[in-house]
Amino acid sequence: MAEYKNKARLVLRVRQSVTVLPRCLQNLSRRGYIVLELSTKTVDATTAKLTMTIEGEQRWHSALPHLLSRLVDVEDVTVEEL
Amino acid sequence: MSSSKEQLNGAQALIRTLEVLGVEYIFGYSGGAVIPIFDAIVTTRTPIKLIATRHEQGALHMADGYARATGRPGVALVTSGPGAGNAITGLMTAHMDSVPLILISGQQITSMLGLDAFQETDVINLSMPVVKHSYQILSADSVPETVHRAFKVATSGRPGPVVIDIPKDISAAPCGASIYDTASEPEPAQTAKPPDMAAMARAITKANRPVILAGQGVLISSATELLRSFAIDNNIPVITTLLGKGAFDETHELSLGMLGMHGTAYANFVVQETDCLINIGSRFDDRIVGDTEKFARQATICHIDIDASEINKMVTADHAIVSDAKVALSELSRIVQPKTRTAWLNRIHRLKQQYPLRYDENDKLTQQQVIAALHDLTDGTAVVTTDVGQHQMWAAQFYKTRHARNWLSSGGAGTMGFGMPAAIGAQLGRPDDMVISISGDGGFQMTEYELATAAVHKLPIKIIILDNKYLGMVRQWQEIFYDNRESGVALEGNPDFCKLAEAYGIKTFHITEPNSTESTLKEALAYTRGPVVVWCEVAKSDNVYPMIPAGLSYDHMLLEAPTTAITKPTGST
Ligand SMILES: Cc1ncc(C[n+]2csc(CCOP(=O)(O)OP(=O)(O)O)c2C)c(N)n1
Repeated sequence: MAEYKNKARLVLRVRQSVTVLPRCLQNLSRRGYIVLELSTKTVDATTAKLTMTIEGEQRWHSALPHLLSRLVDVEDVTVEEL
Repeated sequence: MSSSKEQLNGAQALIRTLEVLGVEYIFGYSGGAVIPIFDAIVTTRTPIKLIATRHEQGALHMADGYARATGRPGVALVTSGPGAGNAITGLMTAHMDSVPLILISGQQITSMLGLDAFQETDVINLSMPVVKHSYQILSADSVPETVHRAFKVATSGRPGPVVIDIPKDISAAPCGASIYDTASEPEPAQTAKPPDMAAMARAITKANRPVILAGQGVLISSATELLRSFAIDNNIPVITTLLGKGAFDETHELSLGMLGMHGTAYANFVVQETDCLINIGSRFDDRIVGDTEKFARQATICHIDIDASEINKMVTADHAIVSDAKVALSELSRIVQPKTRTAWLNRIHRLKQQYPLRYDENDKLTQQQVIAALHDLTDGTAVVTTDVGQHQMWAAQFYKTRHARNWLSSGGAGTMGFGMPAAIGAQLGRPDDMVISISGDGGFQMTEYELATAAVHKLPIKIIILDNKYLGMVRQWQEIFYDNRESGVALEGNPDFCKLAEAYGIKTFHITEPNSTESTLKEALAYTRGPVVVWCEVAKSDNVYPMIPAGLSYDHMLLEAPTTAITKPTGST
C-alpha cells in the first residue's frame, strides 16, 4: 500500500471560522489523505494560515488547490511535493 | 439598502429577508426548535406561502424540485435533531446535482449547544459533506446578513445547498439589524482565458466528426438558445447527459439523446467515433465514462466547466476552460469557423436508423409504452420528474425532452422517493405548466405520504406509477450478473395504489393492458381539478437496453439480452 503514497506540504490561507478546519479535513479524508503534521497560525483578526504535511495518492496532489479552494472560507491553497 | 422600521425578532427578520430575496414558498415540517419561525410566518403576515409536508425528506425534495424547475433557490424549514436528520437525503440529492437549496434548521438554545440537550444534533457537522456551505447564527442581529450570504453562496458559481442553523433563543431574540430591501445578485459568471478559448475553438474548427456533450451546466447558465444556434450553425450533433436533458431539443435531428450506461446506442457509437468531444457543463460522471482509458479514444477532449476541480478528474482534457457555459459558448460561437460536415451527419443518420430505441409490443403492458404515449400526448413539452430505477432510464430514453428545466431527476445521488415530491415543488413553481411524475412502485412507496400534500393544495400533477412488483433495476442486475438469483427485490405486499390514492381523496385511473393506455392517459392528463394517480400494472421482468455494464468500455454495450453469461462488473456500483 505504502508505495504509491506520497507526502506533500499543504498551505492554506483561510478565513477563520468554527468549521473551516473540519471542512478542509473532511475533503482530505474523502480522498484518502492522512494528516501527519498540522499547525495553525493567526495572520490577522479574520485570517489564519494552516500548514499541513499530508500523505496520500500522488494523483490527487495537484487537484487539491482546486478542491479546497471551492470551500467558502478558503482563500488560497498551495501544494508542494515532498 | 434601506431599513425597515418594524421591530422584529430573529425569526421575523428571517421571514422578511426571505421576502426580499424573492422566496415564494417555504416547504416545512415543524417541531419545538422551529416554533418561533413557524410563528413568524403567521405574525409577519408574509406573502410567502408555507407548504406543510408530511416528512422532512418530502420537504427537501419539494424545495429541490421547485429549484430545478424554476432556477430559483428552494427553501426548506425543519426542526432540530430528527428533523435535520431526515433532511440529509434531500441535501445529498441536491448537492450531488448542484441544485441551489436553502435548508433552515431550528436548533436547541445556544446555552445548550454541545450538551446533548433534547434534540440537539450537530447539524452543521452532520451535513458537512453534502452541502456547499453552512452557517449557524449566534446573534439575531446577524440574521439578515447571513441569509443574504447563504443565498449568494447557494446560487453563485456551481450552485448547491446551504444550511442555516438557528438556535431557538436567537429566533426569539430582538433583531437590531435592518432588513436589506434589495436581493444580492449571484457572483458574476466566470470567464475563460482568451488563449485557452482560441485553442479550443481551433480544435473544434478542425474537427470533422465533432460531437457536443451537453450537461446540466448548460441549463444552470441558461445557455440553451446559444447551444442550439452553435450546434446548428456548425453542424455539430448534440448528446445530452441524464441531467442535461432539455439543454437541447431531443426531437431535433441533431440530437442523439442520452449517452452512457443506458444511453442510446447511436450516442454511444458516436462517442467512440468522434474526433472532438466538446463537453459543456457535465462532470464526466462514471455512468457516462465507464472505462476511462477507452472513453472517446479517437477524440480531442474539450471540457468547459465552471468548477475547476472537475477538469481532469475523470477524463483528461486536451483543452479545458473554467467558465460559465453561457460565457464560453458565446465566445466560441464568435470564433469557431462553421463547416458543413456532411459525411459525419450522414453517418449519424445511418446509425440512428440502424440502432433505434425500440421495445416489444405485445399484449403485455410495458413501461416504455406508457412513457412513449405520455411523450406523444404532451408533444414532449411537460415537466417530467422521475424516481430512480428502470422507469427512470426508460423515461430518459422515451420521453424526449424539448425544453430547459423540464426534466427533473436525481442523477448523482440516485435517490428513490425523489420524483413525486419534486413534482409538487415543480408544480408550485410552474403553475401554468403540466407536471408529470413517473415513479416505480418501489420509489413511490418511499415518499407516498406526500400524496396528502398534493391533495391538500389541489395540485394538478399527474402521478404515474409504473408497477412491475419489483425493485426492477436491482432485479435486472441480479438476473444478468448474479445468475438470476433474486434477493430482496420482490415487492410482495404492494397496495392497490388506486385505493391508496383514493383514501387521500385523489382521482385515480388503472391501466393493465396496452390497448386502453393512450385513451386512459389522455383522460388523466386532462384532469386538472387536483392530482391524479395513474396505476399502471406493467410487465414484471423487462430489462433496460442498451446497457453498458458498469466500468466497462462502450465496446461492451449490450443492445439486447445477452445469450451467454456475463461476468460481474467490477467498476462503479
Ligand atoms: C433510497 C434508495 N435506496 C435504494 C436504492 C437502490 N436502487 C436503485 S434502483 C432500485 C430499484 C427501484 O425500484 P422501483 O422504484 O420499483 O423502480 P424500477 O427499477 O422497478 O423501475 C433500487 C432499490 C436507491 N437508488 N435509493
